[in-house]
Amino acid sequence: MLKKLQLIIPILFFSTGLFAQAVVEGVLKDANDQPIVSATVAIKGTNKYVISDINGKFSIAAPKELPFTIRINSVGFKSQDVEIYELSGESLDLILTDDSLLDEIVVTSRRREETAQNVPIPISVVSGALIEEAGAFNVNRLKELVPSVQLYSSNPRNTGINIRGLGSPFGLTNDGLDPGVGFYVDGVYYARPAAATLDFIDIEQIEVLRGPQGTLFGKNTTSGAFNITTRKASFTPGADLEVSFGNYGYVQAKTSITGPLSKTLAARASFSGTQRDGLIDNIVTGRATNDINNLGFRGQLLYEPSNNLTITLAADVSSQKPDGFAQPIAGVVETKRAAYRQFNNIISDLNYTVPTLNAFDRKIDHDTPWRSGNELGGVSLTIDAQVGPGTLTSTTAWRYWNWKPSNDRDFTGLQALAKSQNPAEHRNWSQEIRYAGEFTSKLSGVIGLFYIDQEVKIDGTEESGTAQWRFSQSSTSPLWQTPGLLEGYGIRTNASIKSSSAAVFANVDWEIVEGLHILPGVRYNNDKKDVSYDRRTYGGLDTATYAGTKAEKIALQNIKNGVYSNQNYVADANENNFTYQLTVAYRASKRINAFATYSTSFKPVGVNVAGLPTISGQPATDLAVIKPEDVKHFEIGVKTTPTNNLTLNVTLHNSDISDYQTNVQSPELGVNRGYIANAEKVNVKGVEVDANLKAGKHFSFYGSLAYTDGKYVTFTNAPLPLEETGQVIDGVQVAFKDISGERLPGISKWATSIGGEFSKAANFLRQQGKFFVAVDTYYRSEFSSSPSPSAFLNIDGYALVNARLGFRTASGTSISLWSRNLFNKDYHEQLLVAGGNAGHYGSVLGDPRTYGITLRQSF
Amino acid sequence: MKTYHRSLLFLTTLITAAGISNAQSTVTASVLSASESLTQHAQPNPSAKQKVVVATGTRFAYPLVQKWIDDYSIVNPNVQIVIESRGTSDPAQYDILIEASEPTEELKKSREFIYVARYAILPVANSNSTFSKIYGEKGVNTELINQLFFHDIYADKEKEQTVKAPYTIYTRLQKAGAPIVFAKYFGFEQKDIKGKAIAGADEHLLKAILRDSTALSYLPLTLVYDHTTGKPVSGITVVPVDLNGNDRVSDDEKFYNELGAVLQRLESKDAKDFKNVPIEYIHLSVDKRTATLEAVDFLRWVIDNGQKDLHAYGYLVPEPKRLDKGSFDQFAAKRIKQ
Repeated sequence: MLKKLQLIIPILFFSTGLFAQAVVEGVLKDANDQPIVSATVAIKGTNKYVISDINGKFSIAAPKELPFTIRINSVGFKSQDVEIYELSGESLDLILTDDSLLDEIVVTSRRREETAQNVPIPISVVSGALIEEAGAFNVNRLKELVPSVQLYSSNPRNTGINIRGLGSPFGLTNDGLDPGVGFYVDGVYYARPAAATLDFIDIEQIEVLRGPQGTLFGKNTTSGAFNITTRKASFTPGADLEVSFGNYGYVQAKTSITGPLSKTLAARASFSGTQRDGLIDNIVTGRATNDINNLGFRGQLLYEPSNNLTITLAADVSSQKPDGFAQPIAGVVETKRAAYRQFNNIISDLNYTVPTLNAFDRKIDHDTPWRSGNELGGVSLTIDAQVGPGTLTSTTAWRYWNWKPSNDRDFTGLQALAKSQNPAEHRNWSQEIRYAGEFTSKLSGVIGLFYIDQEVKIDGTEESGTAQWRFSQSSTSPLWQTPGLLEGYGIRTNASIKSSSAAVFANVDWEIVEGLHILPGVRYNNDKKDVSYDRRTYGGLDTATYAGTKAEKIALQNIKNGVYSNQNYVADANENNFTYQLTVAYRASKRINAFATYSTSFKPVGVNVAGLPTISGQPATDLAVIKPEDVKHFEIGVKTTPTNNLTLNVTLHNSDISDYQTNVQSPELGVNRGYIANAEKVNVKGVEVDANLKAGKHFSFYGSLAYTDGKYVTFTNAPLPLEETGQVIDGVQVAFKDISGERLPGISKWATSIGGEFSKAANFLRQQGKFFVAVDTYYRSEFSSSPSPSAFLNIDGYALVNARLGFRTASGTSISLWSRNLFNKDYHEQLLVAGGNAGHYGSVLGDPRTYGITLRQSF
Repeated sequence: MKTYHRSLLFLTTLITAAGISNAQSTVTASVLSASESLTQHAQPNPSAKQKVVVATGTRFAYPLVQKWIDDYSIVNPNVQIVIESRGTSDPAQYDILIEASEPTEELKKSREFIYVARYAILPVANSNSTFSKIYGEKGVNTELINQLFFHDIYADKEKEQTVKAPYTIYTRLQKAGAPIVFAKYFGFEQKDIKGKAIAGADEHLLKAILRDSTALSYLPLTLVYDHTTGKPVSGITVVPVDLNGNDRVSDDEKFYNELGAVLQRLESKDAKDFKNVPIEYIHLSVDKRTATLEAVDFLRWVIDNGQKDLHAYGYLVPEPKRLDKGSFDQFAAKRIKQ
């Protein structure tokens, strides 16, 4: 570690300067004509800077090329840029503006630059600066800053991003469903939620829009959208270097370099690499699993032939090769099955004991390696042309996703499910054309066309091992013990989904009288999906050649068929849908922006591509295609700026969903990823409060509170919770349950994010700059981790404290020490039932306390 | 695998370090190559027989003054008048000062003035900006000009208008005629002007506006219009102002496509009642005690002959009462006697 630091620090602090002779001299003063001491005056785009003296005077060598910009920073004052067009030798008198006010946050979600407080949409904004200083940041961290966001990820494929509890079904991801939360990076739609697990590279800002946004964005966004912007290529040369070291062998390096290639062409190239040791010990293999091995690259070419036209060609490649994501057993539930089918009896018969039932011991003995090869990337071409009063934008993108997993989904050291893996390849291209701008002083808006074509190919394998017979045993017949009956017996699945989606959408903002705006929006959508599913069994005992009676042969084959069976089906869907929204906003003054929105939206038709449950031995093909999810949403909100250093926003929201698309965990091994189904009616309502406060020059605070109440209004055909598996009533096997009125999974009624930062001028390593210390807290109350409410699969509420402290200089150097989960709180992010519903369930564990140091230098 | 990845991580670091080094080399190289193109002001190189008069002052007036110098040189070839950029040296060292704001009482004691032209200042925006598209049509009134351009701690934020277009105010950093006049007209001081500061002259402000597609600033007419075509400089849009003070900008208050039309309106009879157009004098001055005869003679010539060029260069003619030849002639006569 020391040697590494010795390598990095000199690079950070002793970078060479530029040779120049002329000087810029000046005096810095405040509004009361008092000199500003120890301010940093830097030549922008270089690493050259000086500090103002006791009289506020400074003198800095200037580059010879004009114009150039000097940037003045001083704690308690707004940063100020001065563009130098000539070197007259005259002293520059500069008066800096007091910085005790909140900065206005500019957002682009409506395809034009606006102040967040003026936009009648609940928006949370996370800046790139916070991402850089918080350490080890990816989308998963966002939920700790934006309490309306829920993110569940048992591995990159099975990642669901929800806003206000809606978006993706809880549990494992089904490729046949579209996400309900749009994930956009520089206007490019990322179709796979696996992207959310990647490291951020060069992030400028993340905007989280809450509520349906289908009339603003190309792809359906029934519950919200992430609008992520990255740093653009610049004609001013610059570079960023960032390295982090932390416990568990955490190492991360991020680099970015940008500059002109010609007068009209600029480029940016960025790299990111992250590595961390595993957090869970496999006591059999001796390896620590759930590690991190990420590499990413992003490149951009920016061509600006004129002021009216910019063309951006961007490409990115990311690769994750973790030894993960293992889930230790978190508990065992007694089901309604016969005693011999209870987990404890099964493992007792197999002379096995689990290493621990306390998941927080972070110990496993899993025999099948956990791997989660996750590769994403793509190319995009964005053309922005100023046409008339607006901007015409074309975004063409091609993206890929390769998923290469290996899982131990029996969560034990037994060879029950010896293999459980569904590698997938996804390709999509998309085209969006939109026109957005201020058409008149009273009318602004966006109109767009969007098309996406996707194909997912899945080549899955599920295979039983030596212990599977005992887990699958559903009768007391001794034939279950037939040697080799299920060993090596499995299914291979070839499945694919081809889908396309075309949409036209428009949203305008019309100021009908001073301050009163109406914002109608419409969307017409066509979705086509073709699914092909072909599952074939292989291996196990060859019952035809088995040395037994014919009856025994038939019985053995029936046992095999009960575990795995052939299944194939094709299905298609073609749906058109029209949705709309209407917002009325009234800006009573600059300080109050009240709005009310009614919107309809929908999630496209879903197709099952992970196997169908069998009813009376036959696949339930009527479940192959499930209905679109229909959302009717209403919200009222008010954004206020009571004083220039305080913003306070409140939103009340209510969503009624018909045909809610949910994921159903089936006890059938063949339906290894669950299947999707419609719940008749769901309702989510809640309140959100967001506040930001700047208290004097040194303190800033934020607070967000989300109260969310989500329930199944009607779901009469819900799956049984784990503990009711095997329920028999009046001699009839019960397969479904009416859970109408019960709560939705994954939603805490209460969630809060509260934090603050203190900063002050200071000296460190002979550098003048700003010292800062910040604390972020996150709390969520207890929530269900089972699609059908369970008495056992509930996760206790927990609070996390993250903290960082550091020092940043105006010349672009920063050092920060950070810790996540400072008080080492043990918590579950998710509880998942093991395949086959024997009674045990595993935990997606929250990370223990992590801490580290990040060194950053911008040039 | 881990070794592989760690190697990559540190390779990445080294690549960056190398990249930074290369980037700086590139910058350095471009700096060196650009050094020859740096604007250097021509130094006078008069012949031995010529008497040299050195003038300096407000940069945007140089083209007009140079035209006068050229014409004057034809009839007075033995006097060479040169314009030098004003440096940090004492202005009193120059023979003639060209200024664009009302001189202080202190200065009036030591210098003799002639008011030779008037100039108007208008708000301008980058033509590609959304702001120019909206407000180039809609125009701006006093209230909005104050809101856009000036820090006003007493302003009632609640009454501020919503500006639905991004804009970046540009202003001059150093104290100079145009920003002083612009701010004073609206009841402020130059330091109250918001926005990005430019260290340079008014023509650099013009360049800065052209470089930023959100730019909004203020410029004297002479810089707003192309003197050869009479049209606004390509890329610049004049933002019409509320001239009659009724808080609206009507169609007859939008006349900025032609310099001639602008000058005609601003010199019309009703112009004295116009609102929101700061107008100030350009004056030339010499030191009362040390003025050279050549400098005094040049100023007298300007009074007699300089008016015909004003419109071509975007200036308004002075009011007759301010073009006080008699007073200056008295001063000239005293100097000749001395």
